[in-house]
Amino acid sequence: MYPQLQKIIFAAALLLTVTIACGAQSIPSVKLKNIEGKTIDTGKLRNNGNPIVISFFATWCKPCMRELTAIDAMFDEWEEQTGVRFILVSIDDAQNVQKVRPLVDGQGWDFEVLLDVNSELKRLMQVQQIPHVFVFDGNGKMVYNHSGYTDGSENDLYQKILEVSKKK
Amino acid sequence: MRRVLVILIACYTSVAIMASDGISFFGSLQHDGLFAMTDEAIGTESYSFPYLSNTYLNLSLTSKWVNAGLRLETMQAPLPGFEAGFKGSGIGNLYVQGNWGWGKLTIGDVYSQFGSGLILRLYEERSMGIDNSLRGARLELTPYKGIHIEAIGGKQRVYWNCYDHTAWNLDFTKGAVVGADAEVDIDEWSERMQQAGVTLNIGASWVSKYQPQDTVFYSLTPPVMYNLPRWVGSADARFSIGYQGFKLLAEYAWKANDPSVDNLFSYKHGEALLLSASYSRRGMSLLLQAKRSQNMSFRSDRMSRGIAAHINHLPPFTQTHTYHLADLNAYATQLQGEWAFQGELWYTWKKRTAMGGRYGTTLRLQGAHIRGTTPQSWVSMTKEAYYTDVNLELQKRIAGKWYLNAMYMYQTFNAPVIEGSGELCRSHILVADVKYVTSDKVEMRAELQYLYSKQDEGQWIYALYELSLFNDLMLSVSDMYNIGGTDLSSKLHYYMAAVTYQKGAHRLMASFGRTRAGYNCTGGVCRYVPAQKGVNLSYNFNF
Repeated sequence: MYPQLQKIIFAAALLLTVTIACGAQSIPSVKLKNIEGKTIDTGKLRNNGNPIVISFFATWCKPCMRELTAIDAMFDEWEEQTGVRFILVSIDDAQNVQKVRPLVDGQGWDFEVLLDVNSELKRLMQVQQIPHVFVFDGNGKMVYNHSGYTDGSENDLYQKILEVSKKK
Repeated sequence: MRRVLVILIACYTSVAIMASDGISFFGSLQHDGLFAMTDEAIGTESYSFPYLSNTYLNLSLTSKWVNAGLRLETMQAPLPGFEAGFKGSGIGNLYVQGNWGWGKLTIGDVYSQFGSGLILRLYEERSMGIDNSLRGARLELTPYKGIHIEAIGGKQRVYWNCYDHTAWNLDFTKGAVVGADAEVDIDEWSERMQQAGVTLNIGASWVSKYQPQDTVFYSLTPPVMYNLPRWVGSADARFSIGYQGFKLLAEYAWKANDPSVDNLFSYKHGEALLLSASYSRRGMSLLLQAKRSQNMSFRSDRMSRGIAAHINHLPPFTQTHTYHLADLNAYATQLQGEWAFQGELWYTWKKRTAMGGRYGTTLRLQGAHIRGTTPQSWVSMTKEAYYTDVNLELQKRIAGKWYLNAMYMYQTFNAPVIEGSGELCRSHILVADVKYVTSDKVEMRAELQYLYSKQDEGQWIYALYELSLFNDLMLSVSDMYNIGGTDLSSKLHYYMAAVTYQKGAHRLMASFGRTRAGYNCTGGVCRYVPAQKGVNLSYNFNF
């Protein structure tokens, strides 16, 4: 590859890395279907000034299931106390995506679910490992992100949601 | 160099100005490494470097009108199991995307998927070493509500061919993939259908690949070469309908003759049929699926083997098991032809009911059965099964602080067909996975798994203990031991000790132990990983 161009791109990557550390991040705009088959623009997700949580998962991801089961057990309380809107984003490919709704309904979960079959939102938000959770405040700015699951880490997630919630 | 600085300052200034106008940046850094040690007992390979690693830096910019992305990769000594072609460093992915409401144009390295991926799925799965993007362009249009049209074309990435031929791998005379897709959501045209909760979708796709002639001899005496088709086309049509909790999907794909190393240079066409039906409501669901595929390996390079150069995606039509012993014999799609069936039933009894108990109970019954196709008729199947598994899983909170996941699985694995050697293995597998929450800051989890089989290596046992402290720190120890079999050399302990620390967007893991040779399956793709011993280091940072 042209060496000069390579230097520019490597240097730009470094500069951008610094810039990213300073910039605010909001949910990118991607049109995804939800499990009811309706198309949603992720860039227009709102929650009346309350926090939004985006959680990436897949049907084959065991730590994701453990995390979501733990959150489901407490979700009614979280929603009541903070008004949080919790959105699951499945990264299952289009053959496995047929299993998403049966799993969500079978588990009795009440979460909103979007289907990112082509990993478009996943790529834009730089999700590499799942589970991966993002918390956005009432102004739509990202305040927290966390990948992987350690038993009990849902408690830290809730503390962050409480911090940014206007209903304390 | 001065010019470089001027360009950088100009870029930085524009970015800083735009940063106040709805631009977001996201980034991630991932490093996975192994200090490899030799262990003759488990059959480790020897490596020229003491430290093997894969490192990735991703950056993406998102805004109302423009998105862009860049990925830098370095794998000078790739991790075990990654094919030799992965060795190298450079820009693995680079793109710019313009959005104007009813359309999107992406130039650079593009990903996409048509329908269920039977003729095209371009994606990155780095743990498997998969990145089959096209370097070219992708155009998506929504000219009217419910209508989605897409066109895509370019040269496929195969290892580091991004630097082949020309500086940007844009020499399409060496090979190209082009395709188009159209989908219509008919329910978006009818308020009545939407109010009734009906979804109706039809779609059709076309993909064609170009590759110049290769010199492959059909016979040596006398020398006769194959007349290999330079263009190979494929098509796909699909239909799905949903009504409240019901969903039905039917999809058919066809591929023209595509002689390659995968099908021993057969000139037969390929085809695949996928049927899926499901019903679900809160607390219960039923899913039934069937798939027939024959000769559907579709690569941009007819001479490629391994996991490189795939254009389409045919994952195993089985459950991806996450418990170690249940995944010991993982199925791999038989590209020459197979009939595959799978089903799943979920049921959750609510809390404070007779079956649910105080906290509720969830049960899942899942099964898969796969046979080969035969030439007698389109519906005929081989007498021998390639793979079967039936498993029953229970999830229950037993008492205030105790949680239980228990599973029983029966599995048959036709090793001579799937792996090319061995015997038909029948196994019974039991798993108990128990979690105890001592407090908000301390939780522990233990797994005990047992596999019983009279074939192959006989009985296995696996035990794991995990301690989670302060929601950020996790310590774990595990061991997998072959207690059956007559060969003493196979009676080995595969032990592992790990520490994982997570703080916000940072995640650091260090582990020491042995890993058995076998297939590592993620997201429906399996990659063979050789036996390993050593210290693993893994760091992830998202920003």
